[in-house]
Order: sequence, then structure tokens, then C-alpha cells
Amino acid sequence: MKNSLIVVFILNALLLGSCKKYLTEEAEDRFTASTLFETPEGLEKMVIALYPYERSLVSKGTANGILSAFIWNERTTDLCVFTTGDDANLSRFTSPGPTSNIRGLVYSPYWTHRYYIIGRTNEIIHYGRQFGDQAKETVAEASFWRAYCYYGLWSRFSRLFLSTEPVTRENMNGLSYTPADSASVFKQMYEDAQRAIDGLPLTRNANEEGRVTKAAARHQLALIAAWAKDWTTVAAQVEQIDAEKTVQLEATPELVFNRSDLHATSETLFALRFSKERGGGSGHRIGSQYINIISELDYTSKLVNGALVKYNPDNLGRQWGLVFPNSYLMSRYGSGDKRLTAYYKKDYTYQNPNRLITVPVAQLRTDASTGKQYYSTTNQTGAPLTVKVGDVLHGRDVAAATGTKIDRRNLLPSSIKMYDAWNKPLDADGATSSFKDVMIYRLAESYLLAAEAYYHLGDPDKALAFYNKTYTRAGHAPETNPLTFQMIMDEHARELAFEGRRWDFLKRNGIWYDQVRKYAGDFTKFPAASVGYNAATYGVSDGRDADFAPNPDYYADFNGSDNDILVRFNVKPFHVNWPIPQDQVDAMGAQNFPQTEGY
Amino acid sequence: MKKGSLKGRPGPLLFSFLMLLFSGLMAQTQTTITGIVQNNTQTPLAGVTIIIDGKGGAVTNDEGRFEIKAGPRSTLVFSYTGFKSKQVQLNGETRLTITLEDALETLDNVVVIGYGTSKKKDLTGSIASVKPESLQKFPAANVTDMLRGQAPGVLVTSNTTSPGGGATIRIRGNRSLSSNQAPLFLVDGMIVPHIDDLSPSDIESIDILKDASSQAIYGSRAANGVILVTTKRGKAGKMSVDLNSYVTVQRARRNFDVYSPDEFVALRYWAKLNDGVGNLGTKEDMNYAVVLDDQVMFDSYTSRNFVDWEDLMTKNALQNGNDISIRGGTDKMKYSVGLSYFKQDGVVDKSGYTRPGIRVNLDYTVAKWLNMGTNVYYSRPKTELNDGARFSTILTVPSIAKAYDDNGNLLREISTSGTINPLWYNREYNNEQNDEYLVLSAFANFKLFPGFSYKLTGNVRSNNRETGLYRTTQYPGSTGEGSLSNFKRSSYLIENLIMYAVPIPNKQHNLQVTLLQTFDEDLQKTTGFSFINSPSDAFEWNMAGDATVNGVTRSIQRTHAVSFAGRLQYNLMDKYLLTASVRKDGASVFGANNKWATMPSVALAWKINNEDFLQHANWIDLLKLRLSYGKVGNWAIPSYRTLGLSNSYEYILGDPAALNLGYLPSSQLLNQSLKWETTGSANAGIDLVAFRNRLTTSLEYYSTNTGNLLVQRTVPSITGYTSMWDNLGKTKSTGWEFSVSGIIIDKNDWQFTLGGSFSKQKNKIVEIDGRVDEKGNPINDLNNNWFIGQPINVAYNYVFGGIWQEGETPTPDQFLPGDATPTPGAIKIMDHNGDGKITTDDRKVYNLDPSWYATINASLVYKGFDMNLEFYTVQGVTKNNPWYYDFNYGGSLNGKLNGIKVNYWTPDNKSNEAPKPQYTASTPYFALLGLRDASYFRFRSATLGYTLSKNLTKKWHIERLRFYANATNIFTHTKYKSYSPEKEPSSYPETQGATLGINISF
Repeated sequence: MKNSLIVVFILNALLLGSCKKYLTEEAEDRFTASTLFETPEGLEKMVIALYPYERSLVSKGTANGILSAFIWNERTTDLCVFTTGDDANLSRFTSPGPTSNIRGLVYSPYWTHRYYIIGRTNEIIHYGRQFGDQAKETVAEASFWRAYCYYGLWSRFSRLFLSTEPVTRENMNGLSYTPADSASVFKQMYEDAQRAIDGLPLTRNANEEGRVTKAAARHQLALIAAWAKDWTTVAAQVEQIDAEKTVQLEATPELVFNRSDLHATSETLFALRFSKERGGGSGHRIGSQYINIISELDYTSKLVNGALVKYNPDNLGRQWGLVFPNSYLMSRYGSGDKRLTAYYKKDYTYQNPNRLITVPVAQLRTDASTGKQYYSTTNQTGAPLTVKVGDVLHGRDVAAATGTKIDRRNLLPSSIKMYDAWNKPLDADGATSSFKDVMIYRLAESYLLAAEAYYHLGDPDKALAFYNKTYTRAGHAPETNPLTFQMIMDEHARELAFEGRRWDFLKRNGIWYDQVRKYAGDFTKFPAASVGYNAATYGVSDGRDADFAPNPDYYADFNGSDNDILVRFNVKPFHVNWPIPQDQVDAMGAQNFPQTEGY
Repeated sequence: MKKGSLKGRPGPLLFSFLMLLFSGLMAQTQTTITGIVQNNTQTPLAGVTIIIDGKGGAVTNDEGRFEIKAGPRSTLVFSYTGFKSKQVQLNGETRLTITLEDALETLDNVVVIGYGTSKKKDLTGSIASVKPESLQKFPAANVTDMLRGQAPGVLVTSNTTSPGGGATIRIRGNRSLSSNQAPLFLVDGMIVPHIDDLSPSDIESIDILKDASSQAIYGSRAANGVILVTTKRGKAGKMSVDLNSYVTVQRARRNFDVYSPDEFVALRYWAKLNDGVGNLGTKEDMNYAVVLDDQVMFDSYTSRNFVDWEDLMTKNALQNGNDISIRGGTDKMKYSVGLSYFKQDGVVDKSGYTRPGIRVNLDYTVAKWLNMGTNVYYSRPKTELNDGARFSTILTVPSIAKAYDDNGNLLREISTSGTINPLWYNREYNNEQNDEYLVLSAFANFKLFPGFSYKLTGNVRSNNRETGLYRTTQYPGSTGEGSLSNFKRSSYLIENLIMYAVPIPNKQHNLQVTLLQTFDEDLQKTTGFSFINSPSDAFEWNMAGDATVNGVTRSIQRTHAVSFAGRLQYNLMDKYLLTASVRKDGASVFGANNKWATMPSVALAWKINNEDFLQHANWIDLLKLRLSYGKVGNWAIPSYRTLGLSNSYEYILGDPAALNLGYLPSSQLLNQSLKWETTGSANAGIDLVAFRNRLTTSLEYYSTNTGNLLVQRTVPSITGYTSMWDNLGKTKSTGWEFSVSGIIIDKNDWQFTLGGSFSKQKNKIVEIDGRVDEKGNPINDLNNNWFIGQPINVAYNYVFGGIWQEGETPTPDQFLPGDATPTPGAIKIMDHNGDGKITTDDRKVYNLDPSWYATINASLVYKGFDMNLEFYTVQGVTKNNPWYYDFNYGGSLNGKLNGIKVNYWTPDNKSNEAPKPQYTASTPYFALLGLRDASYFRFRSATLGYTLSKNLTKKWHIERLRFYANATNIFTHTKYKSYSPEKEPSSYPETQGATLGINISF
């Protein structure tokens, strides 16, 4: 008996002897942060992770992928009309209140997302410097990302905290959470962009295709310099991009976007890659948000074996349309502009043989509200006309034939730049996710930046030359008249609409408020009393453009809503800056980092 | 038989008894006394030891009979393992019938206190003991849920109401801010993560340690309370067999209405009208084509063929429980074997739960100085889950639809706009979780010298879980996709326990010492992957190997702990009791320099009834005052928090595209100096038992201060991180608990007992991170909804102030700056602080935890009949109900989805309850309508049983035969609209049940 007890005690003593080791924790299934910081390879892994991390922004925010709508969308610019949703309320500035949750869902994830990347780039740059040339390219790439994030924050919030060193628990309490002045922000962005240009390669190896290059860094510096109105730098960087010949415009507009692998066009400087393959992310909703939900209409759905098939490629399938080009944007295109068909889908067709309407003869009518004339249908043949499968659907025809107007969400034109025709599931409902790459920077914008720079630098020939690069590609004869700012602005809209570049352009040129007030949204119906519309003053003394006032020729086709025009009535100059997320003001202390004026 | 073998021992034992008997014969004048010893069901007991005048002895024969010689005034003591000893003073009788009471019945009075037991009257701490009878009062799927309402200070809330779903236990409310609030569960001494796998019929008792002094022996991880489950063990004596079986019919019940087809059309009409849609007609004469704008809906409405989705998706379902338990043994070897089978069909299609289990507990007395035992438990629950995310759509899809085509085939789409049939989703979805639990434990208890014992226990527990999910190719958006994961959790616990009852010659002093050392490991490993493009729907996830596999995950979590503890229990003159303990724990989850913590405690009790001045108060059986103070800890943070782990990110690069992996530190800022969260807790209690045990009451007050809270605090995003685990802040919680039980009528045929318990709790945050604003006021953490001086679990929002009506013109200070001017039908914000204007200061803190809860219990026994009624109430709790505002739950009055019917505003119905419907636009501050009072009162259970007369059942060799009928959740009074006051309406319905059952004992 006693022997057995002794054994037990000894056994225990042995186990207890290694108590310290017993309580030591070791990571068993992943790297620790310190492992990553210790080697150039670890830092390289961090830099690679920044791409998918950035990509994850498309799914942050509310269910509509609302951040994606903000980043890569023009919703709060002069180019589009948008429908529905809490986030739409925010975009049309019918504020749901300063501390509302919806604000938190939009601004806060963006702010936090950007600063997360900044935090990581601070670490890569800090630790990478210790490895000298071994990590030079990694540090350059991280510098690109840091400039990219600060540019994103500055363009949205116009106030930010400048952080350039790794933060630890030990040094955190020493931080003073106060906004940086614009000079130091720009100094930092210039430095980072320049370091990126110096360290990034001209081209990437085949297995690195998709990572940023020198040209992307130059474009980024041009964007930053354009904000600073440092036109010499803008022009010089674009000239350098041209001279280095690593990118060139595609031959036609269609070649740019009629593909899923946007990263691989010859004019792409930087695109985020998506794919259904592993590593391709979980998809985004940007594509489907730009596309009308036309297929939900009986008229446009296809009958297959007697069953309605809503995935109808002719009409772009079943989508989730929230944002559409407005009449102002469409009016910027001259006739024959190839981009009208390359970048948009305007005509939807009858596909259901059981719903072929007979269109009454067109009558010239006068709209009671505006006094303007319009035709009641498109049938100018003089006799009622039954449509055929494949005919173009017009809302006013359906309205005249059935007495029911089609919702504007079903009939407004769609931007197809992000339309993903390649990765659709076979059935009707998969269009909620697109796997088309998201374009961030492309050469067309670089050229327009150069045109703008030379315009300001007083070099009309060079300005015109850069302007004509995209203008002639769209099928126009080269422009020979002297370039005006209005022309640059319009070409910017025509070429880059729905790529998320408009906000920056309007804001840095100081015309955001003016343009939004004049053109944002659309009169998709004659306004009810809920919109502060006054026919006598509209476009005369209120700063709006009378040419884009209510127009029956536009709203005869569908059933719109007052909401579509609210933004023109609600916008205030202070809206040009996003509010600092309330949770972040709370976290930093309002005494240190007060809310932006107006909010 | 080998010499010295253990089997030979009864012989010498008998011999020595005979010797004693002989010596007794020598001592005094003797008469022959005969008799029989039996248990309370009149079964004879063989082998009962009889001591005569403390000297001699005898044992009963196989028929329980004995024949002894004793003096006419002798004192006889009858003792038998598993039964209470009985002392009989002879008064000339020569024929005796002795009934020994089952020791189990006395368990009421023995409480498991953690590494030992204590008589209830000698308890110094606050421990709630739940007896098996109250657990088995009505059929419940899991043990946790059975605890609801059975002990004051213990709040049980449903986690998941679907079959197999667990429940959450909070002991004396919340104390922590970020870290785990779950109590420490121990089953027969083994630490387990939950007790949902147990079979209720295996349980002997559940003891809940509520105050720090009782918890302190479990030290640093006991701060959230300790739940000790003891399973049944064998007892010496005749084999007893218990059979229980019941069947329950369950049904779903809701307390709200959805819009009828006509009401839904009206809602859509108003929504579209308010959005400016034209050509709708008038409300008396609607243009249904425009209002509905959907051919299928139009046809359904005009032909008045509607679909009752709830009826199609839910059904009455059966629940069935069967168990058999066999117990018995000899003085040397005792066994308890339990077999159980539980099956619950879901009221929603494709959900269900089965749990077969087997338990074998053995005790073996090897020698006087050594006994050993083993526990083996195995169970294999299987949980089937319906497409949970889609369940709630049965309430949100309009009934103006078509579910089946004319041939009776299920339609995929129920309207022209393409809304998918919720039944379709459910049909094409399969989700199953198969668990396997195995617990093995063994102990050896060495009694080295009188009063001293050393016990070595080893426990292992493993849980293997396979979870498969599959969406067929018919499931919208699926290409034949799913996931399969395997979770393996294995833990061990080794325990060295020394107990010593210090022999003090002076019987006024009684001292017991307990020394303890344990170490344990908990290891969790998960491997999982998801897949798409399965070649066939036939084998669900089991064909994953042939599909396209993506997203393989693997994770490991390992924690270690080492503990040392000591406890003194001192009893002076059976009046003054002292318990003091100290425990030192080390845990692997903390930073290198902060792994260890020491947790002391002390408790005092004064049995006032044993004082001289109460000697004449015969009606008092027990009057005891208890005071305790102790410190306990909480380490319940995930492992590796002090290491700074990275996350992996997948990306494609290159042409052709190839997978690349990158790594980034997580968004949690690393804190290497994390340490224990500690709770200091004081408890005062008074127990009164009076009128010959007919009245039992207990009143307790506690006050708890928790500091060094393990908190996932918000750090400003500009640091590049969003949060950090840290030790900061303080919380305080206080509460009252009262329980009473009285036997009001106690006659031969009649017994009526009324009891109840009441618990009131309050907690508040005392300090967060110590930061102050420019005015010197402490800063709240709005991100986490933490407010100094307010309860821990709160919502923070404006207060609903009604609806703006026509003719009211809001001035700018009546709505928030930045908002559009409210129009009639919009939501009014209440001027909560009464300063005459609406600002962000008008937000209110809503307490989401109950302020009190109570149970009332009545039981009546009349002859063979027994009846039990139980009422339960939870009060002062606010709960969010998204069905009042969220678009996805039809709450946002868009007229697109059906939902809970509310009285919304229209120009001709100037409601002040809900805003005007809007088809696409959304209403600001809608979410305020979701904060609802979720207090409830429930008639929880009624049971009527009948036990057949023993005279009748004896013929069938049945000791006891009882039939019973039971109903659960009979009636619930609450303002909270849902299937259950504890769950949102989108959750799986909580059910009402009607049960028929039978208990048989042989």
C-alpha cells in the first residue's frame, strides 16, 4: 500500500516540476504577429495580404454592400439617380440623425478599414527599414498602400490623424488624438508615393501579375498632386507613365470593360482581382447594383418550356439595381459615342411571347404640370402595333397599353462596366454576387489628369492631345477647339462614370456642391409637395439647372419617386466632407477630435 | 478459494459479529427478539447490521429477518449502507418491524459543496441544491433547461429553442463586460463546458455554488458561479429497477397576428401611395394590378386563394423519453447502470434531436483502507436543423401567393417577382450535427489512518462532433454546396485530494482539513471545409470528396491550468461554524508574469437555535445566520490572446491566376500583460426551519465587486487596431434572494405544499478605463454600450414619443439637427431629458437584463393522486424586437413583406403607435419601436399523477407504478410579441407540450 502511495506522490511531483512549462502558451495553428515582423519574408506576406484585405471592403457595411457603393460609385455626385434603402437616405442627405446606426454602418467601417491598413503599413515600413535593400520593394509597396489609404481618407473626410509608426499598448497612451494639418498630410502622401515610385518595379513577373507597379504609383502621385493643384507634378508623372510604356489604352472602349479580368487590360494600372476560384474572394454586389432589375418584368423574361426564366442574358439577367446613370450623365454623350453602348445598357427587349402588348398610336400630349410636349407612345405608324419578341421595350408603350407604369428600377439605363456576365450561376438568383475585377486606376484617368494639368499650366496643345486620347477612341473626330474646363469635366464623366472617380474630381475642383445641386438625382416624376419644388424659381434663382428640371419625355416611361430628386434639395455645402464616425469621435474624445462642422 | 483473497472476507466478519453477540450474552439478562427489517416499500433488507447496546451485533438473513437476544431495555441500532441508520429503544417488545429510510431521501439534507459534502444545516456558504424530483417534474430536453426556476439566483434563458438547443445559465447576473459569463460546470468532479449532453434521469443532484466562499475552492475560474452535478451511484441492497417513459405532443404558439391578405393589400396601397406611386385607385376601390404589381399575387388575391405559410411549415410534433436505471450492490461492490433514449421531433420540418446515452457508475471497496470507483458515460446526440435563416420567412412572405402548382407540386417561386418559396428552401437544405461524448473517470480513495483519506482521481472527457451542411442544386444560388466540419474536444483533469478530520478529543471541536491539487488540459481542434459543385444531391456532404473543395480551415485551442487549494472547516459546539479556504491557480491564457492568482475566502455561520436562549423555542428546528466573504477569479478569455495571432488572407495573383497567401496581425492590439479578473463577494444569509420542518425559508443578500475586468475595450481605429483585451474597470452587483417552502396540510391522505423563490438582482458599471472628459466626468464606452453607473447589458437609444400628426408643425428644436423636417406620419422622438429640445442627450439607457424573477410551486398529494403546479415570472426586462422596424422582418412597413400587424398611421387612422408605410423610403428612428418590455408571467407546468395501490401492483412484482399527465407552457402573459418571450419572433418556435408518462419501479 505504502509503495503505491509513494509512486503516486512521485508521479505528481514529476508533473508539478514542469509547472512553468505546462502553463506556457504556444501558437499551434498560425503565425504570431512578431513572427511576421522578424523577417523580410514575413513582411512580404503582410504586403500581399493588403490586397485581399482591401478587397474585403466591398462587403463591409450594410447588406447592400453600401461601402462598395460609396467607394466605387458616384452616388453622391452629379451623375446618377439611385433608389431605396437606409443607406440611400444617407446619400440623399435626408439624415437619419447624427448618431444613427446607419451612419455607423457607412462611415465607420470605411474609416476603420483604412486605418487598419495604415497600421499594417506602418509596421511593414518600420520593420522593413531594418532589412535595407532586402525589403526595399516590400517597403515601397507598403508605402503605396499607405498613400492610397491617406488619399482615401483625405478625399472623404478632409480631416485625419496622421500615424506613421507602429502602435503598441505601451506607446498608445502617448498618442494625442488630434487632427493633422493638411500640409503635413500632403507631405506624408508625397513622400510615400515617391518612395513607392522609387521602389516598385516597372513590370511584374507573370506570377505577380496584379500587384502594383511603378506606373500605378505614378498615377497615385498624380492624383495627390492634382488635389494639391501641383500641376507640374501631375503632368510630369503622366508623361513618365507614357514614356515608360508599360501601359497603353485599349483600342476601343468595349475592350476595356467587356471582360471579367479587368486587371489584365493593357490600360489597367491597378485593379482588385476577384474570381470564383479559391483566393478570388466572396464576390461583390457592385455589378448587380448598377444593373436594372428588368428581368423581373413579365415582358422581358424569357419563356423556356412554358416556364418563365428570369435569367435572361439579353436583358442582363436578374439583378439588384440600386444606382443608375441620370439624364444629366446621358446627355453628356454626343451621338455616336461608342461608350454609350460599351458602358451602358439602354434598350431592354420583349422576350415573353405571352406578354406581347399592342401599342396604341402615338399622340402628342402636353404635360399639365410643365406644359412640355411629349408623345404618348413610340408607335408613329398610324395604326396600333403589336410588339414582337426582340422589340425594344418602352415604358410609355406599356403604360398606354395596360394602364400601368413600370417602376423606374426596371427601366432606367444600366451601367454595365461592372456587369459580370461570366461568373453567373445557372439559375435565376445568383446575380447577387459578381466576380468581376474592380478597376481602381486606369490610364484613361491618367490622361485626363494630364489634360487637366496642361490646361491649368497653359499648354493648350498638350492638354488637347491628352484629352483626345479617350475622346477619339470613343469614335469622335479629334477635338481642335481650345480645351475648356467644362470639356474636361464632361469627358471625365463620359469616360470614368461609375468607376468611383467622380467624387474626387468634383471635390478637389471645388465644384462638388454646385454640380450636385444642379444635377444630382433625377426628376423621374413630377415632384409632389414633399419636394420643395417651385416651378417659378427652379433653375432661375436657386442654383439648379433648369434644363434638368421635370421633363415629361423622361418620366413618361416609368413610375419614379420624389426620392430620386431629393438630393438636389437636401444637399448642403458641408456635405462635401463625410462626418467623422461618431464611434471614433467617442473613442478619441470629442475634445481632441471634434466632429466636422455642419454635422 | 485462495487464502487472503477478498472474497473470503464475509466469513471472518460474520465470525466477529458472532463473537460480539456472544460477549453481549454474557453481560445481561436476555430475551429473544425477532423481527424483520424492510425499506419503505416493504421490501425486506438482507444483511442489515444490528448493534445491541453498542456492543454485540447480528445481521438480517436473506428474508430480512433477524433473531437476537437482548435485554428488555436494550438499545438497538440498525444500519445498512445506502440507508439511514435507525436507533430503537426497546420497551419490552419482542417482535419488531423496522423500516429503514432510504439514504437517498436524506440527500435533501446533504449538499455537495465541492470536494466534499455538508449537511444542509451545517452549510456556511450560499448553495442552492436542486433535487432530482424537481428536475423531473416535467419533460425537458436538457438538464440546463430543467434548472429554470428551481433555485433562487439562477436565471436560465433559452439559447436556441430548436430541438437540441441549449440554454444559458447566469448565476446572480452578469459581472463581466467582455469575457465569458458562463458558470463552471462540474459533473462528478470533471470540468465540462456544458451539461447539455447529460440524460436527466442519471442525475442525483445539482448543487449551485453562489457565493464566493463556496466557490473559492474552485478558485480562479469560479467567478460566474459553479454548478456541481452528481450522478446516481449504486447502493448496497436488493437490485432496484426504475423505468420511466413519456410521450409529449408539442405545438407552436405565437401571440401576434400577421396581416391578413386584405390588410396586407391595404398596407401595400398606403406604402405606395405615400411614395408617390400613381394610378393606385382609391382605398375603397384599389387598382389591384398596380398595388400588387405581380401577376401571381394578383391572381391569388382576386381568386382569394391564399397560403397559410405557418401551417405548411409547422406541425404538431412528438417528443419521447425513455430511461431505465438499475442500481444495487453489496457492501463491497455497488453499481448503477442507466440507459436513456430521448427523441424530439421538431415542430418545424427537418428539425429534430435524439440522444441515446449510457452510464455505468461502479464503486468497489477493495479493503478497509481503499475503495475505488469508475464512471463511464457515453452519449451520442444527433441534431437536425432546419434552414434557420429562412424559417422566419414563413411570417414575412405574403399569404397572397401560390405555394403549390395545380398538380400539387411545390413551386419554387411563389410570385411573379420571383420570391422563393420558404418551403422550397427548407426542402433543399440539410444540416445535421452528430456528437459523441465519452467520459471516463476513475478514483482511488486511500483511508490511511482514522479521519485521513487521500483520493486520486483521473477524468477524461472527449467530444467528437461532425457537422454537415448541404444545399442541393435546387436550392437557390447553390451549385450543390455545403460544408463539413469535425470538432474534437478532449480534456483531462487529474486531482489529488487529501481530507483529514482532525481528531480532537474534546467533542466540542470539530475540524476538517481539505488539501487539493489539480491540473487539467482542455484541447479543442477543428477541421472543416466547404465545397461547391457536388456531382449529386444524393449523398449530401458525404460526397464532398467528389465536389470542389474550398475554404479548408483548421484551428487549435489549448489551455492548461494548475491549482492548489486548502480548506478548513471548523465547527464549535455545533453552534459556530467556520469555513476558510485559499486557492492558488495558474492558467496558460495569461501573460508570462501574470499566470498565477490566489483566491482566499472565509465564511461564518451561527446556528442560533442551538443557543441556550432558544432552547425553549421548540417550534424552531433551525435558525442560522451566515456571513461570508471571498475572492474568485475569471479567466474565461480565449487562449493565445497574449501572443498576438495573425489572420490569413487569400488572393489570386499572376497570369495564369494562382493562389497567394498573405498574413496580417488581427485587429486586436496585443496585450502581453493580461491577468485574472477578480471578484470579491460578500454574502449574508439567514435560514429558518420551523414547525417540525414544515416551514423552510432562506433569505440572502449579496454584494459583489469585480475588478481588473477582462475587457475587449475599444481603441481608436487610428491606432490601426479596433480593440484590445485589457484588465480595466469595475462592476458591482447586488441582489436579494428569498425562498420559502411550507407544508400547509400534512395529514395521512393529504399533503399540500406551497413554495416559491424570488430573486432580485442589480448590476452596474463602476469604472471603465478611468478616462475623464474635459469637465472631469468619466467617459463612457459608447461603442460597447458601457455607461458608468448603468447596468452592464443595456441598449442606448432615443425614446419613442409617438407619431407626428397632421397640423403639428415641428420646430427645429423638436427634431435632431441634421434631420429632414418630420412630416405627418413620421416618428416623434421624446424629449427624454425634458430640456425642451431634442438633442443627442435625449437617449436613454434601456436595461436588457431582468430586474427580478420568481417561481411559485404548489403540490398536492391525495391518496394515490399527486398534483404539481408551477408558475414562473421574469420582470423588468427590455428586449429588442426587430419585427417592429427591420425590413427583413417585415417591420419597416414597406408593404413588401408581411409581418407583425401594427396599427400604422394613415391620414384616416391617426395612429400614435406606428409610422406611415412607405414603399421604398425608410422612416428615421424606426428602430425605437423595437425596444419592448419583455417581462412575462408563465403558467409553466401542471402535472397530475396517480400511483396505483401497492396491494394491486405487488401481484405484478412492481414496487411502484405511477401514471401522469403533464402540460407545459400552458399560459404566458407578456407584451412581447413572439413565439417565446425570450426569443425574437424569427427564432425557432418555443413549444407548448402535453405529456403522458409512466414511472415503474421494481
